Amino acid sequence: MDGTYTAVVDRIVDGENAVILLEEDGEVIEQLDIPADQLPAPVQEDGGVVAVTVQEGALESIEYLPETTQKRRQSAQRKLDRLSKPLSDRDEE
Amino acid sequence: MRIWVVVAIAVILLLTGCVDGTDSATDAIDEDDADALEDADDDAGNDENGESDADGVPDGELTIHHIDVGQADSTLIVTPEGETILIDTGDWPQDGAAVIAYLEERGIDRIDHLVATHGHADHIGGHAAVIEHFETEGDGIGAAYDSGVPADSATYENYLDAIDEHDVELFLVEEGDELPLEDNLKATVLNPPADYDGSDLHYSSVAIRFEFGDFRYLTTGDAEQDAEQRMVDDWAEKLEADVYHAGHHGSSTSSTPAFMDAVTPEIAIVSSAYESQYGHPDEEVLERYDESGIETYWTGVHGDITVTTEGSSVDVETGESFSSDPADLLEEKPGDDTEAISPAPITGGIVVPVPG
Repeated sequence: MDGTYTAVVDRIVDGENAVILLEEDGEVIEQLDIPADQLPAPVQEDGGVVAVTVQEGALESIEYLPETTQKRRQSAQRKLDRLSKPLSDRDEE
Repeated sequence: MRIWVVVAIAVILLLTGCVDGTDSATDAIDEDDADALEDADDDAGNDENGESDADGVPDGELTIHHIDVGQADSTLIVTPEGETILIDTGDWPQDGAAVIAYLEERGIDRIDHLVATHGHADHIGGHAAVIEHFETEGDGIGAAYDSGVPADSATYENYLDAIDEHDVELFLVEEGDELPLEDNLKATVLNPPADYDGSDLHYSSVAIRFEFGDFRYLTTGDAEQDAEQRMVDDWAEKLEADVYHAGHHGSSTSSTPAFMDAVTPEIAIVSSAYESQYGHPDEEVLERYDESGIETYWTGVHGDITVTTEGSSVDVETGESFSSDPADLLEEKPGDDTEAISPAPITGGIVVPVPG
């Protein structure tokens, strides 16, 4: 499990616990729950993409990746916009 | 011959009861609650296809399955005509397996309406797999519904990719929308707020109120105090419900006093793990339910929780027998020492246990 992983701070539960999802080849492979105050400041507020380093089976470091976060958010928003429409615009059948 | 058939069925029921520890309770819907919403009766009277009688009470039963998916949500609603609505699909480690198995056991091969309350991985964890399964091996997904606020995770991206690959119609919902249901069930969206353009996944969590005859059911995903207050401000007269699916797994961020004063449920259902790593349901929420005399069911101790109604009374069946008194649930709940989150060593295994 040692190595550096792309990961996402999926959510902060009850303002206290951060849920981090580690990825490999575009799939989530592991979940880490850590106290939210151990996260880098920017992701404590708004989540985002981070690089998580695991050494000897323990969490070594978490680095915020602002550019990757921005790119991923733009991509997800574009995809959602392309695939969806408001329910109020639904054609009556 | 007929007597033998009856006896045989009785024996089977008894055996099933013993094996599953199935528990059951029936409650009549409070008439005051039922009368409070006159407009619903008008709508329930839309019986072009003869599905309701002169009183607006529909024929047949509505069943709401709160599937035990551990520290996550997944709720299946089946109308009398067999129309299916699946709200959320559990956490990512299960990858939809528990939900697909539950539906298959009940002979369900199509999801007419697939709802994502919001994009967190403990709510859309099985979406990609569920879409893939029913589109390739079943009769498909009728339409999907989303809050319109994207999430960052690969789990969310895989859900959108499954929508794309299988050409599933995806609708963004907001307050005031009604799900386009065929059967005699009305589903009104109360959240997210109209024209919401923020990025807060909990604030924009999809909340839906279902009306079936005189029965009302409210589910709010992970809506927290701010979203609950907004709904109290804008939808107070639509919040009253007989059965309330507790917001955010019974966390104290939700089921806030002002909101509960508007909902006034007889029954609350909490979907969270027995040893929830976040301490859900929170003690103060169970105390609040206890003070209001709300019959409470928790997937952590009751397992799968099924609510059945023919539109005037409510029957609750649970996979495991346990008291529905919130005070008993509070006593049963594991103590604080099991809830502490610490940066545990990574073993390569999954930190969140997958319910068997």
